[in-house]
Amino acid sequence: MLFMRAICAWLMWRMLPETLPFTTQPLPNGLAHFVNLTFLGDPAIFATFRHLAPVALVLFALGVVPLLSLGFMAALLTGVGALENSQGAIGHHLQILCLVAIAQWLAYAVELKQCGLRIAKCGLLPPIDVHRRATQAAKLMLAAGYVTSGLTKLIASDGQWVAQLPNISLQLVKSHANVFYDTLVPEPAWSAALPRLIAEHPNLTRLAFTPGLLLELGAFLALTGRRASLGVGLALLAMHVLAREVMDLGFLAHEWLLVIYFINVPWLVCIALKWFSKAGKSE
Amino acid sequence: MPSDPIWKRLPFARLGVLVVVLLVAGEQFPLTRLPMYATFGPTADYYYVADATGQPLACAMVFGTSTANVKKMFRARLNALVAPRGADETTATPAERLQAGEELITYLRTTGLAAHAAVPAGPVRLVRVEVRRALTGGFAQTEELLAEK
Repeated sequence: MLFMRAICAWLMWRMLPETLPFTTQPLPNGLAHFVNLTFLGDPAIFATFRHLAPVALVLFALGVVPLLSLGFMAALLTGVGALENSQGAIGHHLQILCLVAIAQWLAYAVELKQCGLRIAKCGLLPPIDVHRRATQAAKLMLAAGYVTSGLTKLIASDGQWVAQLPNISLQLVKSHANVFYDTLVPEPAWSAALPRLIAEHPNLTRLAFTPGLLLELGAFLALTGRRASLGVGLALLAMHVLAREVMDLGFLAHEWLLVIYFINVPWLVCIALKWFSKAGKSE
Repeated sequence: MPSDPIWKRLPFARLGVLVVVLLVAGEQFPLTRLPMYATFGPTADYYYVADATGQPLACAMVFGTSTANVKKMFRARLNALVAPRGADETTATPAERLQAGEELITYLRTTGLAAHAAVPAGPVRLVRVEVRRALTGGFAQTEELLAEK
């Protein structure tokens, strides 16, 4: 779990912007309805928080005072995301990371409450069981996010998502144009050919993209055990990689959270070492 | 226990509560329904910024934000502008679209300068492009100049 927390800490650092040039919140969203977050747009204040972040992240990675260390990062990232989304453009790159951080923080808080007289020790260096429950909370939140995304597709499209899929060709034209007009760097030739191909083969398109919806709806199966978690994690990661390559849509936080909590690299390494050890003995 | 049946190993109650909360709360950061590509209509649109001659500008370089964000910000401003009279972006007048566009260009200049982006000194155009399937195959694209400031 040290490895999981370390990668998660790196991801939080990676997702923290270098600057936050927003001094107003013209269309408050979420947390910004309750707190005026424009103080984060002050360069001096944001720089101070950004300088404190590595300290909090190292402590969190080491499993020290997670209520404070993780709490600081969860609050900072949530504040940053809410201020960004209060500019009138709702993005979705940061929510899942904030939700996973908050879920873990809540798990630590619940465990601390149950520690009774050992509260100081529990809060400073929680025992491994507490970290384990925090990891379970992270997995639960991640799975809930994917299931919600799948259900949203069914609800918003009145159950017509699969039928509408051939129109994804228009979204491809749009997303490739977005990327081009962001930088004016020409897109590869296939980016013009692919939307045509999709539009001309509607049933093949449905066959190719429907598994993505089924994967999202079935993401909760990752909670049934490590093998299922690995399978679901790899399949969802493949879906994200495909979306990144085909549609220029990267969801960095989603991808890394899958690697950390569903694919669980340390467990894979243990399995591999055991397998090699057995193979070595049998020779 | 790993030997338990799958349904016994699943925290259905907690999962169900989380999913319902996310669905009901909608887009209120950090809560979200993750609605990306939830529907695919018969048209799509994208936006770009250009100089006074119509030459496209690299939005991320000159304003420090993406064209996808520019689209969302324009729609949000337009909806906020026309909401008091019970209208939305689909029933906004050309004058209202112009006003929302000009406000957005001003905002982009301000945040672009704060982000030390290469904000152009001259007038900037905000252009919307609608994409639809052409009857003859391929795609048809229609441009609309929203504002210039």
